[in-house]
Amino acid sequence: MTPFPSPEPVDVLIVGAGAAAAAFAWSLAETRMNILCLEQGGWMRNDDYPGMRTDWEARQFGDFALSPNVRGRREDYPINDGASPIQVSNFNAVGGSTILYAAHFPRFHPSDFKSRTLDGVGDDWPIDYARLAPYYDLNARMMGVSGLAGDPAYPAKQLPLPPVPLGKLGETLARGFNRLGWHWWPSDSAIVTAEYEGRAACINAGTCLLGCPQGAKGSADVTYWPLALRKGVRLETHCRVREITVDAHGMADGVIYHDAEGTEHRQRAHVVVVACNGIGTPRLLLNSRSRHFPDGLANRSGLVGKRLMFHPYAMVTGLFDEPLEGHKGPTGCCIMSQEFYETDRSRGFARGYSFEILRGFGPVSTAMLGMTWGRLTSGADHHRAYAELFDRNAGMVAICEDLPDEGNTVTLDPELKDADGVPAPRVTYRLSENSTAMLEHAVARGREVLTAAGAVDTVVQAPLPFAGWHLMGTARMGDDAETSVVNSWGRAHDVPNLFVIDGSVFVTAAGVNPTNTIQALALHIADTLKRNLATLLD
Amino acid sequence: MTHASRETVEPLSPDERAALTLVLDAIVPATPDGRLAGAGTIGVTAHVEGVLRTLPDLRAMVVEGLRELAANARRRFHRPFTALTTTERDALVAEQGFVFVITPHAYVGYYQHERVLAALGLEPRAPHPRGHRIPPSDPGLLDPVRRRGTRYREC
Repeated sequence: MTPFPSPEPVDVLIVGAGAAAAAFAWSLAETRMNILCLEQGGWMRNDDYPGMRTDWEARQFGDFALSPNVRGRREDYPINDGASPIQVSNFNAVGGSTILYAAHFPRFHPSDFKSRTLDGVGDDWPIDYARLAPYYDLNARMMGVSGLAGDPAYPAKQLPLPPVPLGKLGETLARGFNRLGWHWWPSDSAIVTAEYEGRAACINAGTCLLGCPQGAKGSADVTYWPLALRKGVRLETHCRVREITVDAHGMADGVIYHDAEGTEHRQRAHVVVVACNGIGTPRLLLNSRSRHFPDGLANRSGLVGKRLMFHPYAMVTGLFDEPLEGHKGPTGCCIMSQEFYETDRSRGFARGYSFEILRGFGPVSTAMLGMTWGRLTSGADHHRAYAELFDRNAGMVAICEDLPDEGNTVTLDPELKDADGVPAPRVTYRLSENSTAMLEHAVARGREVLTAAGAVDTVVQAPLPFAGWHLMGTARMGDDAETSVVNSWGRAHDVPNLFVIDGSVFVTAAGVNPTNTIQALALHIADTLKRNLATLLD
Repeated sequence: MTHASRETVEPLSPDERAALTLVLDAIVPATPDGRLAGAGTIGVTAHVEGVLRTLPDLRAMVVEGLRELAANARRRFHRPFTALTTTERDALVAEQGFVFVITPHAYVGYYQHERVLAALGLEPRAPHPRGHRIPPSDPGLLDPVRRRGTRYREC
């Protein structure tokens, strides 16, 4: 094996080893090019995960917190998100944020790619659903997606495994949707419900958001990466890229990175691929200033770091007067409703949202949420109040489509830096009137369906402050170099040998979890790049 | 024992620990039927002390709060805090600001304690590797959804 860092340029250098990078590297590996991926985190081990210990729930407030600012691992970088009602959640490791994601794995709808044409808001994508459909199918096989064919909210799709079980909680909520005549369907989940490609089946332990010791959850470190490495891709961990460098002609020619000890190195490359998602990618591009790109690499449009989209979440929790066994089952995957997904202007907003039924909360989480909700007191009444909450709650979230707004940004913080002294990102974000109206609608409908399901009371949090899981739009794709950062296959308009392949390239956000679409896009970009290899550097 | 080593190994003195145990019992008291002990009695004090060991600012706040609690007990009831009745202790604890800060830590320690888990009807074990069994659902639940037909826009 060649030494690392290599004195010779590698053919393709990928920055970040999350969901997009894993799919892209696996696909591109068939070219036999010299592909190197640099990841600032390390490999996770199954016995590192909290679910193997009885104190597992407490770890969500410490070294497995969703926020990098709370977690504070060496490999994390701080994020100034004080100017946003939604705080950023992520994870830095091989597999990226799929380590902690719920693995809820819906696709976009066909209409999501044409919101300007259909609804007069947002922008149309330069690609459509038909372009991505084969990659969604491929990704379902690679990630091991469970689900049930025939969902009337989607065109026909292929799913290799049967759906996750509903359990008593899911059945209770499903009956509520049926009473109102509303759509629901078992969730598409990147969780294997039977042995699949060497992965053991889900055992319904309910620890998905803290990592899956079983390996049943499709995090990218257990799906694409082992196969990509077997095909010859090289992955180096604990390498934090601080800057992409350019040559005298303004072409990308490599990166400068810090190793685990903070020592600075340089690695040259013929092609650089950025896969750090909606916060990390603009941070890296904005940190890569040069004579050719004084405002940040590939930023002649001025759009790098602009149009940040989250999914504003409303969480509506139903309190029931009977046990629901909600601690059993995949935490974030049960059933989904898209009754209010497509635009209906009579509702007072454009676009729409999905309802996702979560499971119930564990003993510690119930206590903490009960305190947050003002429903759990200390002292003499404590046990009575706790008994009304534990195993009698059903969590449900509405994932609202966020519309792109150039005022919502990722910039570089003038003071905050990571452990290697690299400027950290600052998030500036406000909820739009459209999102606010959508959240209000979702809260009202959420209460309605929970009541129909038998809830005796409901508790609302909207917007959910810690729900900045989905990070999109900060290096959007498009056909016009004046109004987009990359083209329809992720190639930077300003730098022909620079690609962006993560959620940054999203034009709009849709109203579903984005990971499946991020990976389908990465597979599409890899295939298109392969078809254009002969002329790529001309 | 030096002061420095007490800070790193023993965040609280024996008297402070005894008082904290009673404070924790006031936050989560024993169940009315006596089936479960309060948080302090069941052993959550050690959990909270572990937290204080890693958070020096919180430790300082707790030590100061316990000192105030002792002073208030003597001023109002003319006895040490640890000699008060449950009602008297509860009244004083409810007035102390530091109690609100340690309450989440008390809950975390309490609701992951194996005796508490057992009392809640849960197996006192880690979720992995045994997990949970969920019986299959009635597939007929989806019949009304299927009857309503397509929900997406062709485009």
